[in-house]
Amino acid sequence: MAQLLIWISLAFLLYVHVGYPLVLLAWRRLAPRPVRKGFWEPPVSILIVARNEKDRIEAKIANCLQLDYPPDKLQVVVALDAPSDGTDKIAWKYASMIVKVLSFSLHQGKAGTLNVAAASATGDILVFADVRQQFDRQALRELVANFHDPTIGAVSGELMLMDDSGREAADGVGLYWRYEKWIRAQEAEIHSMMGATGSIYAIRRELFTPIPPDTILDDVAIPMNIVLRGMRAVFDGSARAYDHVTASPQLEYGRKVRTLTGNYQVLARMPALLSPLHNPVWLQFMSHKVGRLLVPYFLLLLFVANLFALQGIYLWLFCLQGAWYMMAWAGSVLSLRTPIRADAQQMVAAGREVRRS
Amino acid sequence: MTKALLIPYTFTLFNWAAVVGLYHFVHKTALGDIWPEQHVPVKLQDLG
Repeated sequence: MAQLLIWISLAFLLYVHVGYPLVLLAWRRLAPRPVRKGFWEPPVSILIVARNEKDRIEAKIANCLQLDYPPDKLQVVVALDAPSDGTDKIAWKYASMIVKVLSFSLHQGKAGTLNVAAASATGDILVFADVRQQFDRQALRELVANFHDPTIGAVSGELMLMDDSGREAADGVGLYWRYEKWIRAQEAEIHSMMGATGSIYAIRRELFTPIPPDTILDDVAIPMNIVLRGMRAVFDGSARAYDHVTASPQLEYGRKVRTLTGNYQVLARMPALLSPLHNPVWLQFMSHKVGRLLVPYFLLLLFVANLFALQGIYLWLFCLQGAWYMMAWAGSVLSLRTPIRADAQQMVAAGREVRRS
Repeated sequence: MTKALLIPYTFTLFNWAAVVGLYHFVHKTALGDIWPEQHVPVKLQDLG
C-alpha cells in the first residue's frame, strides 16, 4: 500500500513539474497557434490603480507619458484608493487631457477601484499597470499589435526581474519566475495562458466585465473570463516591464501566498474553469493552476508513505527527499544571513506590521 | 553555493505556500490588503 501511494504521489509531482512542461513543448510543436501581430494604433487607456505610492507615482506617470504611442490616442487613468500619504496631491499635478486622475476617499480595495477606472476609460484597449514596475518604451505598441489578430482578447507582457548587476535574475526567486514565464509562453502558443502578469497586461475594452470588489487576482479573473468567452489570452515577451528581483525568497513568499489564496478564490467563483465542457484550456488549467495547489499534499503523502517503505529503491528515494529538504533548510539559513537592501528591509518591516495587526 | 541552495529553498517554500493560501482563503484572514476593509459594490451603469 505504501509503495502504491509513493508511486502515485511521485507520478503526480513529476507530472506537474516536469511532465506538464514536456506535454506543452510537444503540443506546441505539433499544433502551434501563432498570433498574427500587425500594426494597429487604436485609442488606448492605461489604468494605474494605487493607494499609498507617493514615492513612485510620479515616476510611473512620467513613464507612461514617455511611451512610444501617439499622445492623441493615449489616456492614462490614475485611480487612487483613498491614499493617506499625499499620493493624490502628486498625481493631481499631472492631470491633463491625457492623464485622468480619480481619487476616492473611501477605501474599496484594488479590484473595486479597478472597476471604476475601467468604467471611466475611453480607449478601445485597456492596459493594466502597477505603480512599481516601469514599462519599456515600446511595450505599449507591442501589446497592442497582438489585437490585430481578432481571436486575441487579452495579452500579457513580460515582467523582467533584474538583479543588482542589471541582468535578469537567474537564482532563487528569479529562476522560479523564469520557469513560470516559460510555461506561460508555451501555454499561450497553444491557446491561452492561465493568468496574466498584473504589472503589464491588456484586454479589449468590450470584453471587460466588472469583477467582485474583493477579488484578489484581477490578473487571473479578468483574462480567464475572456478565455471562457472563447477568446485567447496570450503572452508577448517583447512587451516588457522591469522590476528589481526580491532579495530573498522569504520576501516573495507573502506575495506567493496571496497569489495562491487568490487561486482558491478563482476556483470558488469561476467553477466553469473546472469543466472541460466550458473551459477550452481545461487540461492546462488543471495541470498548471489546480496541480500547483495540490502539490504540497502530495509532497506530504510521498514523505509519509516513504517512511513505511524504507528498503531498496525506496530508501534511496527517502534519502533524496531528506537531502532536498536539508538543502532547502540550508538555503533558508543562508538566505537569512544574506544582507538585503534597504527597500527589501522596509518590505520585511511592513510584513511584520501586517502580521501584528 | 548560496545561489544553488536558494533553488530548493525557493521551490519548497513556494510549494508549501499553497497550504497557507488555503488557510487564508478558508478563514478570510488578512495578509496585507487581500481582503478590502469595506466592500463597495460598483455597477458600471451607475458610473455613466
